[in-house]
Amino acid sequence: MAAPITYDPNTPLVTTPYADWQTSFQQNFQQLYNAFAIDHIALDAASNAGNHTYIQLPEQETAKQTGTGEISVYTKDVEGQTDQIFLRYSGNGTEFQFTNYQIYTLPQIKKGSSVIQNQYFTFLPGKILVYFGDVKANPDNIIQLNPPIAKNVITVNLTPNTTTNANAIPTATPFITAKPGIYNGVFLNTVGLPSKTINFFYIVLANV
Amino acid sequence: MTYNPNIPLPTASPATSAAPIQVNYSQFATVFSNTIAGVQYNHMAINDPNRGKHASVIFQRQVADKSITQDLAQLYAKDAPQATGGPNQLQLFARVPQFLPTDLDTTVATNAPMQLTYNTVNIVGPNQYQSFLPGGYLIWFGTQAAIPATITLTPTPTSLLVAIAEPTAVSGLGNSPPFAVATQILSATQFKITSATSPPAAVPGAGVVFVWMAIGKA
Repeated sequence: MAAPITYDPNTPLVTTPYADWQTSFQQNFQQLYNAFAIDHIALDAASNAGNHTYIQLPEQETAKQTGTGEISVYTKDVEGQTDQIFLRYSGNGTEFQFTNYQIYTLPQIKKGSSVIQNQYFTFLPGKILVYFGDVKANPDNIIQLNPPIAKNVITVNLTPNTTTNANAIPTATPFITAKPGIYNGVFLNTVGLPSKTINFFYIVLANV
Repeated sequence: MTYNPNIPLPTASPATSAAPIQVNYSQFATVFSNTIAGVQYNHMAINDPNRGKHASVIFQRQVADKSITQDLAQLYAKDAPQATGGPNQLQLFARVPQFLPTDLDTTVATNAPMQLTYNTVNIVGPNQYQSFLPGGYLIWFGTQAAIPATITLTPTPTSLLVAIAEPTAVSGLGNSPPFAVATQILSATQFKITSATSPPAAVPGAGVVFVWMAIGKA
């Protein structure tokens, strides 16, 4: 197996014959070319040479130093998840987690053949999850929070999804199930409200 | 002049090698950091005190997702549908390593690329504002007086998923019961806000403003 090409900044040496200089120059130029091509349009491309194809951010152990007039973008491992993208503002300012978790499509929640919850989620910078969708209050009165990773429910917004407009809003109580410290859902307290099935739109913000 | 990784040739003399070597040095510096009209593209220049750092980052359209086999995250640009049904627009995507399922979340979900951007925002209003959320979602928010009212969203989403509304005033009747409010999605682009006091039934005055928020799929 041929030895890998290694970039050598200390070549050529004065004492080295020129025949060896040729090899060293070529290896360095080849290695520059190969390394640059990893995330960039190739050095010898007819157009757009130097533009980025993908920016791959290997995991960093600590927050990056950020000077005045700079914003740094880097990747760190997040407990319970994987590598996520972080930003840090200029002058070694605040670091915050920019991406969060992994967005995927959630299935409808059904009771028998009846859909009782359409559920979606996304994220906001700062480790915030946004759960949203619509849910039928009565019979179950539960907004399931999926993915079940919320450590603190911050806000719950509800609006009846109906043509009749004389409906009060139930109170909402986040609840924890078998896993300590994790909120799996929000209970809708409909005591005193008309006992009928009402569909509600919901938006829930939570920390993860 | 083009960068050539295959020089100098073994048959070339030092005299004839100097020029192509200089071309490579020059081309590398130019491609690495290109300044046009005072704007540095991609990287700070090699001789700049901030050499190697990024200036403005130009992403070239990609047609395929790149797999992840190491501890890293990716940023790249590729086409995504736009809400108005027009031609796909170039958007910024992030991709992280696959980590699901976990003990908390048993969903077997692949590390699909996450769309981070959308090509329009409305920060002018005055009654309707719009931004975007990761995952190809759009979020609109604003104010509306003269309830009942139908809100038409711009840009047009492919589907409207949630519509929330709340009054900013109490009813002004005895014991000031709050206005009861409801929303109804009429189509992919419209939802309706209705309200009345309960009890007794009454229509909110024209001066009562409702705040609202909607989320849809681009």
